[in-house]
Amino acid sequence: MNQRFRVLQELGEQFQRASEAAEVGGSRSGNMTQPARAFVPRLHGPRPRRFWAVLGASGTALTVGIIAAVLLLSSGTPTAYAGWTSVPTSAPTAVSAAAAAVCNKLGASIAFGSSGPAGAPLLGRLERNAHTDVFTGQPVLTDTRGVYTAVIKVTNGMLYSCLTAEAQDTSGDRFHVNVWRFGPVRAAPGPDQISVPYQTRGGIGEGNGGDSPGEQLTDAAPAQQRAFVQRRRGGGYGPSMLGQTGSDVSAVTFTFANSQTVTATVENGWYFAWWPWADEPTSVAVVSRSGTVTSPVTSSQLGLDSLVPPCRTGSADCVFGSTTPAHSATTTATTP
Amino acid sequence: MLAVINVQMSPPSAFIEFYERNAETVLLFFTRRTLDVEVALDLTAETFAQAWRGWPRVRMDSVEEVQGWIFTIARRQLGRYLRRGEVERRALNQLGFSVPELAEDEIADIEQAAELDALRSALGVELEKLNGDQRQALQLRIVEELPYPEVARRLGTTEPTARARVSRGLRALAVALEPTFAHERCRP
Repeated sequence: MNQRFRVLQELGEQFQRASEAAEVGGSRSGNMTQPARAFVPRLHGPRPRRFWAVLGASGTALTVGIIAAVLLLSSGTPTAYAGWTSVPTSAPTAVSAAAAAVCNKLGASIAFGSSGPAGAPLLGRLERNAHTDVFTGQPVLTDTRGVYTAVIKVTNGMLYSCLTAEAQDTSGDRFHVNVWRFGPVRAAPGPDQISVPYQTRGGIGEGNGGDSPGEQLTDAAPAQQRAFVQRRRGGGYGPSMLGQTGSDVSAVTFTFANSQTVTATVENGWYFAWWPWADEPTSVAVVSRSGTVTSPVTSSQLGLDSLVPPCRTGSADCVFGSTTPAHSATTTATTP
Repeated sequence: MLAVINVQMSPPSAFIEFYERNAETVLLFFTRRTLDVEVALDLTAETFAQAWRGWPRVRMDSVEEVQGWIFTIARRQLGRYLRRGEVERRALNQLGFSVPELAEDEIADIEQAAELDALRSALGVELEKLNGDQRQALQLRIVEELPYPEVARRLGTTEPTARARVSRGLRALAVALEPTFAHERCRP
């Protein structure tokens, strides 16, 4: 076997072994051969998309998701979710302000399509057909986990979130940015309750663009994107949880099967958390200002089961502007 | 790269010779039509797995006929992929074969061998001609490698519709670029 490409060589070796087995066996009836399994370990991660990325960078504006975009890709060494914290951290004001500014700039580009990324005109057309109120107004929640800052806004009854990640290099104030939209906003839950999340899978890093204003999209960029959005072979993204809290809720904590916990940011009647792995939580603890805790709310009670996949094909949740009934978790108990 | 084999016989060993002489051609054939080396490798593996299963029945009189046979399988696999948006793995699974994982440098090498650079400018123009739905569907499915349920969710449509948009987009590209593939048939 003499192939120029290793993968073809290794594939051919499987046929070679099957061939040898068949000739030794003297028969190729039925399945013909014994399988030649597991001949090569899978050592490599998801493949890069250099070819398509270059298309995007060359101004062809392949497309940018309706509800998401990646802006200002940095050229630092990608480290997937380095610096992420399970408990929100206090963001320096300058960083928060810069993150919000980037989100606003991107939102304006999406809304009006007159400036910003090369893909903005396309986004603008799409948005004008739906909503032109992208990401304006004051944030209702800012969640910071190390270098990641998420900004949540509610505008004209629609919910927008924007996640930024500080570039891990010394090239200046460049961010990775993703924006996406949910809605419409549901009715607020009861005082000690939280709503079903607006997002589960497919949250952080949902969609991406590929246009990079003012700088060339280099081959390094797809790796940066991949790290940022936690791409997985076969699809899927790291989940995030964004929803509403009742007026008495002071804390929300997600617990996973391996006992890992992630604490949400709770502000102004909203909660938000995300994590850099694919699993969804098995339970959610909701703490009220009076010290009561849901005991605990299971993912089923919270409605997560019904949201996996988060948007069932053909369901109303899949359509922007659809009316989604309010759900809430109701089980409460008093802590000792 | 033509198959130069003893076409009068179809023992397993002859299949190996057949594979050696045609695997790369088939891989590049798929790469230029799917624009995705990973998908192309999957399609190549399934194509030869199906050929392996059919090999005992092969009785052909010419090299061209044997090569035409493998490309008939290849085109059927490509058509199926474009229709359904996923690579069939039935023969691979039956044989218990796995598809080797691609390293980044190999992807680059294969893209270079497939001369994808030469396609870029043409593709840029053709992509612009696609409607927004198809372009976005290609972004989600081809670029981001999302499963179809997720593509459908993001497009706000049903999974069959998402599949149709991706396949129509790829088909549109394929039709537009087919003239650039013509010289492949003349390659030795």
